[in-house]
Amino acid sequence: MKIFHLTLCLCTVLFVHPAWSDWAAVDENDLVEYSDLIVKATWLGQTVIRFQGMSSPKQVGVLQVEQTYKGKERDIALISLPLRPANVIASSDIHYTIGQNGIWILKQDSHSEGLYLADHPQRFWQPDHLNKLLRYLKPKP
Amino acid sequence: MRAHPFVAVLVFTTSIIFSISAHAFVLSGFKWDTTDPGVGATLSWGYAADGSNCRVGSDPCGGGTVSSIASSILPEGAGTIDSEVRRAFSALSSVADLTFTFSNNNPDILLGGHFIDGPGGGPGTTNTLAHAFSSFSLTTGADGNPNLFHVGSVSDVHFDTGNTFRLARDNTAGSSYFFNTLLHELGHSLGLGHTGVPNSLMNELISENFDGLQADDIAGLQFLYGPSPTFVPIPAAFWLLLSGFGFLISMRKRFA
Repeated sequence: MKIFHLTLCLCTVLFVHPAWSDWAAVDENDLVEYSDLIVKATWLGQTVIRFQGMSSPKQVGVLQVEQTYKGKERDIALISLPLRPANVIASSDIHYTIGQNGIWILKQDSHSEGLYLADHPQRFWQPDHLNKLLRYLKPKP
Repeated sequence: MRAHPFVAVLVFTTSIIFSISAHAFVLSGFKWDTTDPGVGATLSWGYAADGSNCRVGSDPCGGGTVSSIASSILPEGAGTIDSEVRRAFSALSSVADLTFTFSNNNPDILLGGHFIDGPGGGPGTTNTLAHAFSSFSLTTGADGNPNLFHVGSVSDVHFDTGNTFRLARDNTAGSSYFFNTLLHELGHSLGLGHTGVPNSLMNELISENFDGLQADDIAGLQFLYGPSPTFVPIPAAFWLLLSGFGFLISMRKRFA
């Protein structure tokens, strides 16, 4: 019976073992270490805006920041999003929802100063993963 | 150490609850040939010509022929990539009312490859293996409101030529299983989005622990296009229920 229980537990673990499809998985420690801004924040929405000096408009997502864990403290973080026509869908676009709250592990957009990228599913963590994040952020001995 | 039966029951129940609370298949809002769900479609597919531009999106698609894709991403070669592609289309038409024909004359689904982001530019850099860009005609009903589904126009599937794929489903690090990746992208081309259902091909957290379409993917495709005339469903729910009863009876006998 003991073997049966252990097999049951093993099956449960195996069935939730993840790997990425459109994307390859990123090592979480590397993700945190090489990110530019880590915040606990809420997705307020997205809008199309035109920056001074830029020829084409950009779609930008807005995060209301509650806590900054890495990078310069701020109240708002702007996320660079791809701008597509209404009749085009790209499988690699990630759609965040208004009110989505959690930990955002962001990378600076090298094409747009002041904007950040949330272009991979692992760049958003549920809020209950905070302890894991703090472990990764702890200075290495 | 003795595993307490309560723990085993708790683990089992938790896994069931998590399966049930997961989302069902997700639809992108378009399908092919008609706006009506459950109605089949006939689509053409082909390979992008060398140096051609993508039809959807602004990315360059140079290096798109089957031989150039194969030589850059699949060490096994061009002949094998073509047989895997045909196997993928065959898998789709075996479960849903979909007919695929090969054509290199502006096909509905065009397979190609171009550099997306490589195998990851360094630690912490994200890595896209492939993506599908689809365009569709926006349609409205007689009342002037948008239809539930728009009609697909063209779809381009691009593999990242900076990545390496393999034919074997063996979880080898540094490369990805080509067949599941292709089938996942074709799922997007047919109108499926990413789902939260674990162990589904269309899950963002897809694994190499299975080969090809799974129950939720099949359900999504059949919702969109209807079942294949030759499809024989596997009574998975029946076997799950039966095994659950068996488990409960064995527990009852053991601890009565």
